[in-house]
Amino acid sequence: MRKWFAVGTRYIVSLQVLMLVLVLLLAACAGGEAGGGDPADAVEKYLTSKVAGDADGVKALLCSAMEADLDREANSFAAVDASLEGMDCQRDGSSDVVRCAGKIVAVYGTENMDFPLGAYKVVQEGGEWKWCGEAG
Amino acid sequence: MLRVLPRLCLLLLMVIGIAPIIAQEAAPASPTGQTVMNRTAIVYAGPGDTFRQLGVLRAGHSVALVERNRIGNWLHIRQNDRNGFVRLDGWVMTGSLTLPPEVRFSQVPVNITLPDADPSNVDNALLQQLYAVPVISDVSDRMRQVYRLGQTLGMHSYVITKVGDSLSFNPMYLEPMSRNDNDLGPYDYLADALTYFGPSAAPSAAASIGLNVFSVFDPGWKRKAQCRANESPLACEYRQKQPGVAFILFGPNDVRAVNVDKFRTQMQKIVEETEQRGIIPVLSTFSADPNRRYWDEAVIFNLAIVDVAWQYDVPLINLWAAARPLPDYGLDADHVHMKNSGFLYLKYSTGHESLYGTSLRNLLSLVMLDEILHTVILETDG
Repeated sequence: MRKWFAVGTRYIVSLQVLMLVLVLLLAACAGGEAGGGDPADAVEKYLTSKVAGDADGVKALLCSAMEADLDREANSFAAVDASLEGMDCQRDGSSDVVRCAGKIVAVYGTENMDFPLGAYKVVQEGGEWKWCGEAG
Repeated sequence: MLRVLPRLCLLLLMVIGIAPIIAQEAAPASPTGQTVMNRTAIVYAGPGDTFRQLGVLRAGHSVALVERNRIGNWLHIRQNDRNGFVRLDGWVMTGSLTLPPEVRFSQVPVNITLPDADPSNVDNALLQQLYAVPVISDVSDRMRQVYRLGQTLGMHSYVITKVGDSLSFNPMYLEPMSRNDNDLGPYDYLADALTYFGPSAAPSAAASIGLNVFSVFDPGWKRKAQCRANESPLACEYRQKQPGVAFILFGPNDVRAVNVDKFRTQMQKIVEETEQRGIIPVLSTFSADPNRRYWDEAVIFNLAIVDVAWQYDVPLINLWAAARPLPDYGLDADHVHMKNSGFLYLKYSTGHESLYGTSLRNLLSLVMLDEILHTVILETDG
């Protein structure tokens, strides 16, 4: 009886390990061939952080080539009340370009200014997608 | 008796001849004639409201015009009593006088010895520093090098532009210079500068509502129809217009959002990017209301602007100091933007520069352009 119990326990533990490996594999696959989430999602998060003046959020999603521009990116909308309207970003095929519809609305006093969103370059660094400026 | 008569006649003629000379000594004649006060105004010992107050003149008082300051926005006047003796001798803002239309500042003597302010009468050390800065700086020899560089890079010496926030975006700033119905009034000496630079005055891609010292470098703030991908509003404006002179004013937005060290660093970057393209940067302090929030920050940020101007030896307009004696410091009802006169053209025959911030800023910009035209462009080009 004790022997059967020991074999059963070993079987359950092995099964759990196998499932864990499977889950990890699936998670890795879900990341796509790039392995760092959805680049469109990264761009949307980046723009949201920029408009909010969230320096940490901007820093986390800004590519290393643009590190010197961190202050600019984080303070660009500091003098206005800015928000995103109708933002919808999609990766352009399998390229490193993400195209966004929608706009940034900046309010200053009684004045509204619209900045239409455009096409942005993305790069992968450390397995994560990063925003890397406008696409030419 | 017949012998004495000629002597008496000679004596009488001498008395008649000497009398005006005696009267002149009592009250020297005005080189430009009499003029009338159009409002009550304080008379100061020098061309600025930090000088000692000497008295008050009321609307309708007649005064003699003696001389002007370098700009012409302050006039040295003299008021005589009934007996022809000097009652009051000091300075008033030009707009408080109704000048005869024939008065031309090119013909009025200029006082170049008195400074624009007497900071010793100001009890705050920071304000003393700010008042001590001339309203119109000299244009350094270095600007000739910048100008020469600009000529080699294809910049147009006669093109001006503006860089800044809503104070510069204001269509009433610089842009009216392109009109052909401007009225310089007594400021005839600015006609050359207006003719040379005026036609180029136009809206700028680098002047927007809400712009700050960071966003002027942000391609996200550019006007997409005019500018290239990844091109900042500043780079876009300079590439498109290829100007010779750029009027740069930031601060009113930045005091609310940026710390002064970062502000200074960004102003340095703006100056460097401007000079590298061979464009003469003209910096300006900004007006502020001491009774409003951010007054202390405005003083500190203005001093940072002065520091940058001195560090790079670039032209500086001390708009802050010049606007202090204006009603509401030249500001509009929101206490941030400069007040417009309501006229679409420049109108200096009725003293707008003493009433409205935008009129004053346009005048000071024209004075600076006149300085650049004569000391840089014409000198360099021979």
